[in-house]
Amino acid sequence: MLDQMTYWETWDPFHEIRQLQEEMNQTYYDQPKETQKNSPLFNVWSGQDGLVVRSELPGVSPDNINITVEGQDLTIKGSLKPHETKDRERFIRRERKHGDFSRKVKLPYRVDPEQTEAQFRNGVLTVTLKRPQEDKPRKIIIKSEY
Amino acid sequence: MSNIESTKTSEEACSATQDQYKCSETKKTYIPKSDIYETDEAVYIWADMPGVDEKSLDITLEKNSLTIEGHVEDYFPPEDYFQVMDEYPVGNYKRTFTLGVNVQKDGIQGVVKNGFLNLTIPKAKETVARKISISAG
Repeated sequence: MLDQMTYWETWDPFHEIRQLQEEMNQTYYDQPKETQKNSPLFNVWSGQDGLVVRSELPGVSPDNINITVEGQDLTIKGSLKPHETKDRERFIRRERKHGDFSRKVKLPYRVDPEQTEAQFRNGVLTVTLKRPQEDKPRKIIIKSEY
Repeated sequence: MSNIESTKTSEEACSATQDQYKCSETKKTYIPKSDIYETDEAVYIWADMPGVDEKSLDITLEKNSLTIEGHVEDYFPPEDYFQVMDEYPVGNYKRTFTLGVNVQKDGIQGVVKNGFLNLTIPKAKETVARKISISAG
């Protein structure tokens, strides 16, 4: 697990601590979440020809999601507007996150931005990234000795 | 004070139902994160249920228990792909809310969009505050 994470070069040991802190704040202080920066979580699959990145963004409108690919970096940004409520005091329970979110990950290899496709269905984002043809692993044929 | 409170955890909800096959599924059941907001006229439940649409969502009302249950389809990556990053778990959703007696059970409405459930539970007419006019005697 750890090996896989470190392989990504983006594994942040403080992420979990920050997350814990955020949860504590939420539980004990019920702070307004507008000011907190959220970073969506990713599930990623890798294959010979590319990658699939999935992330849960419930309630977010697809128009409010911004995906950029630059070299080895994938950035997903967006925002979730909170419900228009007149009075904050009338919340009985508040567990959902809202506001701006952003996440940048370093991919294990270069991907072709032209071939990147994204689909958003029922609050789940699926980004399909393809490896450039020239970068794909090639099988090397060993010439036999004479 | 409030009309609604959430009590049961998914495990309790699971053991409470007799649907053994649902509980024995390898896929776990998670409690959807929810906001509950109250106005003079209604109570709103806003729940995050990514992966759920109107067909895979069940809302049942039994006595005073309102249960939302969402079934999430498995994702199958392309062939020969393996998982390299696993940050969030995927499972079904289930949560039970206990309603107060003063809600209009027939008027409950739910809308699901982009994996987000918006439930409106209107309060019973008699509980909506009314202004009493006082005439000078």
